[in-house]
Formats: sequence, structure tokens, C-alpha cells
Amino acid sequence: MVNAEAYMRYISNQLSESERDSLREKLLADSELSDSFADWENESIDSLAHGRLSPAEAAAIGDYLAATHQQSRIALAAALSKPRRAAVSPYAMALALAAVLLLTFPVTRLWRDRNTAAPAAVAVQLFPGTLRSGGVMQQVPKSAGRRIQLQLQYLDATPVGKCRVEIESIVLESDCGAAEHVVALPIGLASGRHRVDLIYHDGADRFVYFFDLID
Amino acid sequence: MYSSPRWTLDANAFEKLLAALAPERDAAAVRYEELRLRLIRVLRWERTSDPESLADEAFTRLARRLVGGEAIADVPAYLSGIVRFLVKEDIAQRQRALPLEGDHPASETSGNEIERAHAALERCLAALDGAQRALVLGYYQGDQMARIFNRKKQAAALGLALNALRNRALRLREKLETCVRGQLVRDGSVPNNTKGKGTW
Repeated sequence: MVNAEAYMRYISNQLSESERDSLREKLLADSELSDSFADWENESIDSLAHGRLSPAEAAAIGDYLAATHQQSRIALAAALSKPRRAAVSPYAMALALAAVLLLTFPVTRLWRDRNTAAPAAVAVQLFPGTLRSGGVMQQVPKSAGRRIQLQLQYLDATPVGKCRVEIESIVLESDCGAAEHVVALPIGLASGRHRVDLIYHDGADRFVYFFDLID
Repeated sequence: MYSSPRWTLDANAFEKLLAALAPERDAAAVRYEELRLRLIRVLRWERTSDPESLADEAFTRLARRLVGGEAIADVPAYLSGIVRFLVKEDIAQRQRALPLEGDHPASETSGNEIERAHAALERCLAALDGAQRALVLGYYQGDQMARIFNRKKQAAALGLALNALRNRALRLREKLETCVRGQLVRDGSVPNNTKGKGTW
């Protein structure tokens, strides 16, 4: 599958030689894919500039930029997204405020799996549009032997539709933006910072969530 | 540095190269520019030292094959093979030149750097026309949530699909990045240690 993770693995030299050959050929033949990679790169650099990447992703992008003498792009990304009086719409400000207010809700246990055959589950809420460096991080308590369910909550204006949910190596096809949207984390997921990507099928919309899985 | 010493791309060879890309010359020229951009990006993602020169070298090697009478049905696939060799050659060359290269200094982006980039950015933005400036600023403004909503509004206002809007913003950002880098090199904020002059 060619996605944002493939981009990260490509620039981090984590692909096998045959994977690399295959991806390179696709990138040369397919303008849309090349543009998608360039877009993911820009978004990654912007996220790096604002402290929104996981440590592993930040290290990967930082090493790539250093190796290719492109560190100045980090400063440019910070400058480009710096608010300008004329460019900030009241609508965007209201949305940002809404996101912050939602984030002040504590992580809540919502639901416990009643199926006795399955391990008990803990559900936590995640909200989109969360982090800047030093901002509030959703913390998800890890409970031994229990499956963790993430219930994704949306603002009213979030698009509804088919999308791909990516959590680490897990890729799920799902209905995003729906009221009851729950994704399960694998029991063996390591403690630390994790990222959830919702990628809508038109390829243009992407939501990113972060959470800290804590012991 | 990467040009073949015994063979150069002359006008005749370049025409053969264009003919392999599309039957009509204008369409071929467009295709060449698009392919060159993709080639430079790939060579950058492959961490080569000089993506632009290597892209030109890849085309030179391709043209040489065409002039030699080789029939190449799938140009991107053929170029991919050339890139594979060029990357290996580039690594070997860098290892010979700088055996200790590989430890990249960690780069913290300081407030001063951001301020200098911001000043350079403002100068480069001033060189764009009003519509381009509004498009690129609107597209990259704000955090993740704000961006999503801004982009939908932008696309609707311009009558564009989101992908088309993204592609316009990408091109403008690449143009801005080239301009800002040039400004930073000129004022000494960034060492001119990349050989490529354009896309980075």
C-alpha cells in the first residue's frame, strides 16, 4: 500500500531494495502519487515545525532534512503558517477554540465490552486537531490483557464518508465522521506516543490524532 | 560533475528524447518538465547530493540509448533503472569524498532562524501576484483542523477540486521555497552547500 507511512519509510531508508525499486518506478510514472508524497512531506515538515510529530517521526524527518541540507524548510514551514491578520478567518478561529475546549475533557471510560468470551475493553475518546508543542496530549491508560477501543469524536463540520484509519501498522477501512466510530487497538501496542490517521478516500482530507499510551 | 565525459546531450539527441515522450513536440515538452520534476523529487527522497544535476544526467543517459537506436516503450520504468545506478554512484562518490559523512548535525530551529525565514518569505510572497499569494497563504495557514476547513472553502471559492487546489499550492510552495532559500543564502543565514539551485 502506498500511503503516508510508505513516504516515511522511503525517506528513512526502511524499504527493502525491491520495495524501493517498485516505489521509485511508481513515483516516476504517476504524477498524482508524486504530488501526494510531496504533500505528505510538506505536512510532515509543518508538523515537525509545530511539534506535532511523534518522536520517531520527528527523528526520521529531521535526519532526512539534515542529510539533504534542507533544514531551512523547517523555519520556512514555521514562518508560512504564522498567523497573518488578513488570512485568519473568524471561522477558523472558532474551530480552533472548539477543538481546545473539547480537549479539556478528561479521558473518559465510556464502555466496557460485555462479551465474556472476549477480553474486557476500555474505550477512550479522542478529538481531532489537537496538538501543538506543549499542548494537551490525550493519555490512554494501558490495562494488561484488555483490549482498548478508541472512540473517535468529531466536530459537526467534519466530513462524513469512507476513509482509511491507520494506527501504526493497522489499516482499517471505515466510515469516518459517524457518531459511533470505534477502532480497536491491538493488545500488544507498545507504550508511548502513537498516531491515528484518518485518510478520506478522495485523498485530500486527512485528520491526525495523537495519544500517549501509558502504563 | 555528473555529465558523461564522452557523450553530451545535443539538440538532435534532445529531440529524440522528446519524441520518446509524446508524438507532438508541445505535449512532449510538457511531459518532459513533469517527468523532470518527479525525477528531482525521487532523487531528493533517495538522499542524493545533487538531485537537479543527477536528473539531467538521467535524461542524458536515456537520450544516449535512444540515439543508439534502442526502443524504449516505458520511459519512467527505464528512468527508474537509471536512477538506481545513479544513486549507487552518488553514494560511492560521497564515500570517497567524505568518508566520515553520515553524522548529520542535529538542527534546532531557533526563533532567529524563523524570523529570518519569515522576513525572506514576506519578500518572496510580495513577488507573487495577489491571487497566488492568497492561495498559498490560505492553504498552509493554521493548524490541522483549520487547514481542512480553509481548504474546502478555498476550493469551493475557486471552483476547484481539492486535489487541483493541492497541486496549485504545492507548485507555489516549491516556488516560494526556492525563493526563500535563495534569500537566506544571499544574507548568509544558510550555507550554500547544496549544488542544486532549484527545487529542494
